[in-house]
Amino acid sequence: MLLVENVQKSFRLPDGEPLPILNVPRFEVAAGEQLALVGGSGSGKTTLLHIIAGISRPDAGRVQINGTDITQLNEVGRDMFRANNIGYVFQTFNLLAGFSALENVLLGMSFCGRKPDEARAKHLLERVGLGKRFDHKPAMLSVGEQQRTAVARALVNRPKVMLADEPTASIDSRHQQQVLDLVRDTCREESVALVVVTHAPEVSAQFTRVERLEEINKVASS
Amino acid sequence: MSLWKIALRSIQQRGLGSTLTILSMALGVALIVAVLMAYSAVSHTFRRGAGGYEMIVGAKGGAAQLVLNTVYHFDRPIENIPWTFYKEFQPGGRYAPYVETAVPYCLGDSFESYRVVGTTPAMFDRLEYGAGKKYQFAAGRNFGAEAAHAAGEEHDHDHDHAHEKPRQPTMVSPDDDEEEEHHHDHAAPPHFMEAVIGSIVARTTGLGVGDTFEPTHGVTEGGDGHKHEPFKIVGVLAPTGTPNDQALFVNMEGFFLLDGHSKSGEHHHGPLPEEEREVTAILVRVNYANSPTAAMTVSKDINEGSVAQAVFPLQIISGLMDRFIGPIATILLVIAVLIVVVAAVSIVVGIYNSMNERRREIAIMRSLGASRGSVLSVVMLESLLLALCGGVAGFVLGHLLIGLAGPYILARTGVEIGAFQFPTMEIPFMEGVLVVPIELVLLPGLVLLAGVVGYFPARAAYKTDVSRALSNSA
Ligand SMILES: Nc1ncnc2c1ncn2[C@@H]1O[C@H](COP(=O)(O)OP(=O)(O)OP(=O)(O)O)[C@@H](O)[C@H]1O
Ligand SMILES: [Mg+2]
Repeated sequence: MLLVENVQKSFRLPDGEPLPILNVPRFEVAAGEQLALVGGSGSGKTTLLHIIAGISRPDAGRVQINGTDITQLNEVGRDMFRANNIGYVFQTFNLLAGFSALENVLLGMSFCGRKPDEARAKHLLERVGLGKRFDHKPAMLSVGEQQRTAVARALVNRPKVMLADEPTASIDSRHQQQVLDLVRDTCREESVALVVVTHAPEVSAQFTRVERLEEINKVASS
Repeated sequence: MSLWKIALRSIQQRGLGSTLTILSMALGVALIVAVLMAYSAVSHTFRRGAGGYEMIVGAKGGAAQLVLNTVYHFDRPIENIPWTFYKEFQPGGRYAPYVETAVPYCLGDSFESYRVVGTTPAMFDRLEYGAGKKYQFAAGRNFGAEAAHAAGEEHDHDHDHAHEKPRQPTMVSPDDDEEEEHHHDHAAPPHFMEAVIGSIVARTTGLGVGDTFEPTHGVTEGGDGHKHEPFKIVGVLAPTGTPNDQALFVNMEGFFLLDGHSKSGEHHHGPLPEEEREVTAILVRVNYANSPTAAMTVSKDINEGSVAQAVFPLQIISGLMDRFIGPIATILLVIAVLIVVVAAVSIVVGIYNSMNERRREIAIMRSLGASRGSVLSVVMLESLLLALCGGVAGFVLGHLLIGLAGPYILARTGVEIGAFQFPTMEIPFMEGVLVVPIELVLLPGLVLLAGVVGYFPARAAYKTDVSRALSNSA
């Protein structure tokens, strides 16, 4: 369902020298599959997620999602594809401060070209335990609640893939498990493939499939 | 959520900054609105000064001077014209068929800083101070009718009642024997010395009905003129918003009896003999019912003669407005427009200053699938909303300001101006073709301005590197 093939990415150093970050011959995720992606800091995990999401373009290679090679799409096409097929949750500051929890979730449906479905937004907020917090601004929510709102928003457009970049790293250990369970359960319910980037062994240990970036990434490290 | 709503939320989120920006925009727009309202009120008032009649007849000379002097009591009076010329406008005179009302206007005296005008009761009975606006008396009444010989028809019927009317005890028949008798044997009849004063004069001098005043000969302030016998105030005019609020009107008959007002310089006590009389101007209401071309016929005849000139005050006033007041209003407008431009720049500065926190928000929206075009639109809409809010607030503020200042302006200048006046303007290059309410020009102008200035931060939003923005603050 998600297939990354021969993807290469390098950044340019200030002196103009190219700095190779990624060279991924093959990385595959089946529909509805859940996996943890681990790796050292600066190894290129976030960079890979950006490429899968179509936020940045690889220098070479293919990224196929549900039969579409997004590297062949132009930018507007990738934006539209992302809106409809990919949910993204960051480590922190997922939400727009000026918008209520419900509005933040609705924002997830604002760019997909379809009519926003408020009932679904409310349903998902209730599902993540925020049924009474629709009108609350992010500042009135705890970090865990903000992450749960972000999860609801990531799922609101019924994506095929959910990308979560250290979604629980900013939450205390007690609530960390709660949010992680929520992400995994809702993705399972919605049959969404889930890639969770994490540094925490207690998080990765819960996944049957754990990928080390250093193993799938064949870049010649300096 | 629509892009509009996203833009609105972004504005709300930056409440204080947005409020300040809107405020400065509002001030600029309020100033524009106030200037335009004031200009339109001034020009309206200016034109209305001569609204009750079509033509002024006076001595040959500058047309503008005649108008300024007669309508606005401005500058020194010009030469007089002979009484015989005035008689041509009275029944039996050669211009009579073309004339509905002709009111004599005698200038040359003053009281404190105000003009004293010698005229007839017809000034207030027969003329209006604007289309359909009759003179009203806030207190008292019009002064008594002039002596019978001064103007024919309207006094003939008074003659029968002359003896029953205490304020017209000396009403005389037009034959010369009796008149002779008057100015040799009797004091001036009491109504000769009656006066009506304008509202501003009444307020500033404290004079009222029953008070008396002595005009000074010559209109200059200061001591060289000498005082005459007093006039008795019998009426105070209601405010008209015309320069007449700032004048004192006295019975022409009494005026003629003042020192220096007879050609010969002799002293008289009855009505001044015709051959001794002069008037400064004649205010003419043309009889269009009788002849549609009356105004042209009369003015052409007068101007071709050697005695007097006939001018159309509205025409002259429009010329003066365009020449002098227009440019002042233009300068004020340019200043106001600059304020609006500064306010627009402050919108840009505000958006730029918040660009750091926006970068993260833009990145989040992009991660949700927003295109570069969408984030560009949000920022453009934001600047548009700020400008429009400021514009509407400024519009209300401008009207409010004028509304509050209105009574004060009226009291000080005689310019009547209210909150619910909606000035219009002519579209440049289409003068005389298209006249629209200023909002129709102002609002699209603001939209255009917001678009131009909003483009710069919007382009920065458009160019945001999402990948980097997401990495930096995560
Ligand atoms: N826009 C960029 N320009 C230049 N270098 C970049 C850019 N983005 C990332 N890098 C570099 O690429 C490498 C990989 O970065 P990336 O953020 O993908 O690592 P990561 O595995 O997510 O690290 P962490 O676990 O700390 O989040 C880093 O060395 C980083 O400095
Ligand atoms: Mg990372």
